This record gives sequence, C-alpha cells and structure tokens, in this order.
Amino acid sequence: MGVPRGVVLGVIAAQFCVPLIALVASEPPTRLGFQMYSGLGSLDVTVEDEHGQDVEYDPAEVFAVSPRVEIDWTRRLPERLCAIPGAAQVTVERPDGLRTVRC
Amino acid sequence: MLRLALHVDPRPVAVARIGLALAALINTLEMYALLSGLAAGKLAMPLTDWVPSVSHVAVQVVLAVGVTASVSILLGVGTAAAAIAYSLTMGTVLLWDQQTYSSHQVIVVLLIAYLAFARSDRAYSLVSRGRPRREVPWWPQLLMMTQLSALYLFAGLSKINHMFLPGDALAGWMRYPLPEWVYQPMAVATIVTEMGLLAVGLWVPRLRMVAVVAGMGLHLSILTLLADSTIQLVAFALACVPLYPLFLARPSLRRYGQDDPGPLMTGAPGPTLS
Repeated sequence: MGVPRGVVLGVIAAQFCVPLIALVASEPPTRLGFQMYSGLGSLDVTVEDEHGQDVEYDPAEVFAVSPRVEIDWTRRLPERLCAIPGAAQVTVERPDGLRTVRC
Repeated sequence: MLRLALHVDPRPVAVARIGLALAALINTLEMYALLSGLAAGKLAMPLTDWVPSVSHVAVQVVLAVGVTASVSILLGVGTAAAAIAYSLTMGTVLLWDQQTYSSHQVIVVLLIAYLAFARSDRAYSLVSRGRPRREVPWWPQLLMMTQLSALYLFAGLSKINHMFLPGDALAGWMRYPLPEWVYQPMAVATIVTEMGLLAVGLWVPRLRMVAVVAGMGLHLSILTLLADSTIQLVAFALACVPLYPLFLARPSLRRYGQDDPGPLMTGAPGPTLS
C-alpha cells in the first residue's frame, strides 16, 4: 500500500488544529477539544414547587449519564423536569445562558 | 522530511492493538448502558431534531458490532475490517446524542481508525501464530502517536485556568481527602506531566523513559485518586499507556545515512524480520 503523504500530514494538522480551534474559538469546555477534567463549566438546576420550595428528584431517572457541562441543557431539560410531580418552576443555568420555565 | 514509507517491527503496534481492543470493549459496554437509558425514555439530547430517536433494536446492534469488533481486534482476527466497523459504528453513535460524547470515547474511535491501516495483527495475534514475523507500515503508528500527543497537549492546556490551577477542582474530585496544601502542587504537576513529559517528552529520546514512567504514574494516580468514572478511566488508560511502546521503538524522524539504516526498519514494504 502506498504512503498517502498528503493525507497523513493533513490528518496530523487536523489532530492539532481542531482542538486548538475548540480551545480558543469558544468558552471551554467544548467538544473535540480534549479538555478533560479542566474544572471549567457548570450546570445549576433548580426545581421549585408553587411555594418556591425546592423539589427533590433523582437525576438518575432523568439523565442517561452524569450531565456533561458543555451540553446546552436549557434546550430540553426544563420541560422534562416540569413533569416531576409538584414542580411549578424549573431554572437551568449555564455560564452562557439561563432559562426559567413555568410548568 | 518525514519518512512515511518506513516499515518497522510489528510488536509495539500489536501491544497498542491489545490495549485499544480492551478499551473499545469497555467503551462499548458503557455506550450500551447509556443508549439503553435513552431507549428506555431518559432525556435525549440529539444534535439536531431530525436525528432518529434511540431504539432498543439499534442499541442491540451497536452492542453486537462493538463487542464483536473489539474481540476481533483483541485476537487479531480480521483486524482491519473490525477496526473500520468499530470506528464507523461508534463514530456514528457519537453523533447520535450529545450525551454519548466523551474524550475517552473519541480518542479510542480515532486510534482504532488509524489501527485499521497498521497491520497490527502481524504479531501477538491468532493469524500470526506460526508465521514468520513481517514488518508493518510506520505511518499509521505516526498518526497514533501524534493523536496521543494532541490529546495530552490540549488536556494540559485546558487545565491552565482559574479553577484547576489553584487545586480547587482537584479537591472536589478526590476519592480520599488529602491535605489542602497538596492540591495546588498536584495540579501543577499534572499540567507539567501532560504538556511537557507526555505531549513532548515521549518524542525526545533522552526523556522518553522518564515520560513513560510519568505517564504510567499519571494514569495510575487518576485511577486511584479520582472518585468517579473509574471504569471509563480504566478504558482511557488502556487506550493511552499501551501506545507508549510506539514511542520507545519509533525510528528516527531524520534520514539515516547508508551506514545507519536505523532501528528495526527498512524502506521496502513487508519484509520478513530475521
């Protein structure tokens, strides 16, 4: 099998350019950046009843895996948590966004 | 000029193959558990709304392909086809739902994709038993090594931040509480090890044995000290540490003179080693 020199050099360039772009082009942690255990990013979820008291729930019944902080959980999570009995308001907060939903 | 046409001893990449196969097997089982949860109704986070939802049948297919491919790679039977099947299947799964993404899954998919071209079954495999050992192309190994270097480099770079450097993040991840003063030096040592010794030192002949010991120490400390995700971190270590022999045995990147053909390599494809 011939040696695809251009392909090899192109792959090597991509191996370093993709994580570099992921690191500098947006707020870490980001996908494809190999930013393991950087300590960055956070996710705060609050489920309240109609009196403003916290409603307990089991995260294992909602999430398929421990929630990754780079995912935009404001998109679908509030509606899902509104299905918890007693939930009246759900707030999902990430470093780059906050969404509050009245159930 | 890189010497991409080199052929080298197959044993180091065979060791990498075995480690990657074990990592792939663990990752497959992890992915099966995750996808089963999605199929059972846990919150899905597809990349886009038109991606089909995860079904129980599809999860079984992923499990069957992943386990079969991993075992084939481990035994060195149909390695290239198995590696391609694993990479395509798990690569697709990584795009299926945002929750399937993780760095240790991605690195195994990428390394096994390169492994498909490495002829790694020419040593320590069922198909190589009783056959004369033949050399293998070096360029897939080069891609595996540079990929690992990129992983360590950016893992270290991303830790240079206000949360990790003071040790605050590390303190929250520990399996056992350690004295407070330990965390900051530990954080700095982690970054130095990842960026200096592993991303760079593995390529430097004078440093590579130190880098290998440091890398093994890093992965061992990750496994023993971090409280969560131990199984995933075992897979991560199995994907990384078995690649170290590629650095130890790699040929020089420079052109050799006629009197110095370099270690364990020729320019001709697939000769038999004496």
